[in-house]
Amino acid sequence: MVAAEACTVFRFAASLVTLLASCAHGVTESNAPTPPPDMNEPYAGRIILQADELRDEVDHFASAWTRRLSILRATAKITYDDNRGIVDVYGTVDLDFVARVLADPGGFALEGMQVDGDVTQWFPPDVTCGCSGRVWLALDLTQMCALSNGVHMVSRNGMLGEVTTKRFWAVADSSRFFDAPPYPGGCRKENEYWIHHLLVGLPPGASQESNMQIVLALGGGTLPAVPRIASVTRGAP
Amino acid sequence: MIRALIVLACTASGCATMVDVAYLIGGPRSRGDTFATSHGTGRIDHHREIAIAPGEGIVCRDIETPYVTGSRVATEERHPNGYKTGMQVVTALEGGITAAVFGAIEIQCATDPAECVDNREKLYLYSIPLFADIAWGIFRSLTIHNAIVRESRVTFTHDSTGVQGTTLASSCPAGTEIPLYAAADTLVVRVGENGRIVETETELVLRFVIAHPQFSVGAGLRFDAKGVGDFVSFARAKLAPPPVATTPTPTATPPATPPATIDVPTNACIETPYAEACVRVRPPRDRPPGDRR
Repeated sequence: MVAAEACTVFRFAASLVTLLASCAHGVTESNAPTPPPDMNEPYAGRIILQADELRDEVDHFASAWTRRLSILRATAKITYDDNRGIVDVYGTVDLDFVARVLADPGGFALEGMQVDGDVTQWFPPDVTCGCSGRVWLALDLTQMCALSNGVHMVSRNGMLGEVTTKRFWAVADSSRFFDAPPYPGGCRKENEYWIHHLLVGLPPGASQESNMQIVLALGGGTLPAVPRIASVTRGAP
Repeated sequence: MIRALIVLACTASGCATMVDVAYLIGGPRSRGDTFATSHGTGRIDHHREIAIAPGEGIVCRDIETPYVTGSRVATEERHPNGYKTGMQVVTALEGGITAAVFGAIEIQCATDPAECVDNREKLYLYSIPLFADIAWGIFRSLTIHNAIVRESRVTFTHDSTGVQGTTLASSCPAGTEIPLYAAADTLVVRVGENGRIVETETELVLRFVIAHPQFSVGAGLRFDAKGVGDFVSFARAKLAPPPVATTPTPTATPPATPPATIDVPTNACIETPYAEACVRVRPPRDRPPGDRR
């Protein structure tokens, strides 16, 4: 009785401060960009994106931009300067394409569900998959539970492509991921197993560009506002 | 001004204050590192394995180990006057635990004064530094400036060797044949749904394993010799006859030693060279009716 009451008090206090903590978010300040540093790769150029919302929602912009750049396999440095994002890009990339990708608002859906996933691994086609590539996609657990193994549609104002998904479970104390839970019981069993990621098979015969669009749709996040491409400068500034 | 307040609050040493002490030591800049999207190097190792799965028995799996290049996202932040998130988390914990403890004391005293804690007034007096620390934590949580995000870097290791990724284990396709070899005997079993041995053949397999503990598996399959002993133990446990329930008569004399029965533990752990180290025989209520897997 006493323990239960104490627990209620603790939960109330914890949720109150969690609410308080949710108010904490990153902001930007005036931060003039420095010359591009040496990053062990040839310097490609500089992209400047502008959005007033960047000042108060830099966390969301930073998350989406870094995820997109890592999907593009582009080494980059982003400087957040007030309402500008200055992106120094390295390697052999198409700067205009990178700029378009970074300015895309996102907001794609997988089988009708908004996806804000995390593409943790991207593999080329393999003899066993019958696909043009595979990615590991981590979504919200509820979303992954709702998606059965099979073919699903990636869309935003019309279909972008069809992918196959297969769920993989993590088991406590194991470094392996299994395509079935260790014993019947659903999506998760507390402290024993849980769905870890979806193995997404990209459409067979699809081009690299088409696959890039699908993977960006799945793991590129959604921007709070559409940034304007202020400039794209090739070579050293 | 803020440093003077921090020193003042340090007199009430507590968790929230320690966050400010950490800030004074660590400084206003911090860097957070996370993984970015790793890209496959093109190398994926494959092998087929038979193993003991928790609560399932013998299963067949296709294991693949992909190799990927390393990648990281590093984000640099500036904290003008303290670590806001750290302060809020610590204050939440400290406040929550304190509220729970003193709430329990008060409820106890209200419901059963005889069992109330001794020197209750002194307890509150001695706890003043703790309350001061919580108050300081709440004040700081509200007044610390939000973190200023300065820059992010996305980097990759473009080395040709790559780093080993995590292993994926998929069930062998239904109908896959697994040959088991003994000195003068061979048994070929088929894989059913979800990688499990076809149920009608399960007992055959277990009897084969008990009869030939030194068996080997077919080419292309992996089954570490160390695992055979475990496999035999599992087979023996699986085939053990259920203990016969006897109703003792009122006049019966208890035996000097308990009758020998083979006890199948409900949560036995068997060390195997594979990841699935525990064989858990689930209680029947965890399974749907008719499911004998």
